[in-house]
Amino acid sequence: MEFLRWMENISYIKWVAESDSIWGFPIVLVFHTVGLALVVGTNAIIDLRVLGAGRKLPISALTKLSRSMWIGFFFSAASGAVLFMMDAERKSRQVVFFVKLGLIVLSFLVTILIQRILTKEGAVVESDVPPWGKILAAMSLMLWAAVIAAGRLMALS
Amino acid sequence: MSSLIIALQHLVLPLLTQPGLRRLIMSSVYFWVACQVLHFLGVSVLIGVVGFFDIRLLGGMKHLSLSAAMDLMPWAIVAFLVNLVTGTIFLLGRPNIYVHAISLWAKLFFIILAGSNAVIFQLTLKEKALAIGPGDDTPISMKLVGATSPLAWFAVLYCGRMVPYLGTI
Repeated sequence: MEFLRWMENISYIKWVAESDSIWGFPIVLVFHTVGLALVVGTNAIIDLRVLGAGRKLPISALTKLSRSMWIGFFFSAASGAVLFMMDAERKSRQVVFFVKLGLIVLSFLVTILIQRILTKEGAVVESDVPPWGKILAAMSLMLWAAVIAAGRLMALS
Repeated sequence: MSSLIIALQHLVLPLLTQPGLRRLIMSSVYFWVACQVLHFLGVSVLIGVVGFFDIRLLGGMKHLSLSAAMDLMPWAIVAFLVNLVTGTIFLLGRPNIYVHAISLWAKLFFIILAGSNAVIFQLTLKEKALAIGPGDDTPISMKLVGATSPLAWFAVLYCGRMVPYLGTI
């Protein structure tokens, strides 16, 4: 497809793909991993707390963590776009890539739902969290694990 | 420095060369991928939980007491142990490649740095930490610990990711 080939030929993208410099491909990978750690790490705190760990932490503190999630998302999405564009024609044919994108969308939906529950009527302790909030937290952890797995499987093919 | 690393390589490579274990580990690519997934999850949970505490140490999120910000720490330790195990599996799977990767020796250095930082905090500042309540600022000593920690752990992450790219020794 012409659009995909155009993406691969953008000068920055071509440079990243062909350069030996550590400021090319390796740095893009580092940003992708840092973003992942921020997004999944922040979600892990929220999910672990909702599931009952760390009870000294007030539930209300979990509603103020969007900044690290957004920073992480930006790093991962931007670096992910570069990674995709470097090899657009092949990656656009990888089923596992689209599975990964779908899982990311699902994961963020679940995160938004959990935030809705936590911000309702000023929940403070976890008896304020309904049981399906805990199910969502468990699902969230599994979905992010699945996103990471899809990413690793992409690196395999 | 390089002679120290070379000496350590001579010490460590025979221990990591276990042909039976290596064949077992490398027999399934899905096992390897599963270990990678656990390893990435581990670093994420570790950075999340420790980073959260570091922000409080540095004076952010003052509405929390220090002990509240610290309460998820056991999970960071679990995450670290998961990574220790999966990391060892990687080493046992490809000892010749990984023992010669400069990046992994740098990673080890930063892990020791981050770990020592945490141990020093536990040994010298734990008492004071329990007294830091909501609204309280933190002393300079705790801010130093809170600044060193994320720098060290992100350096660990960086060195881990750069293993194929920083050359061999």
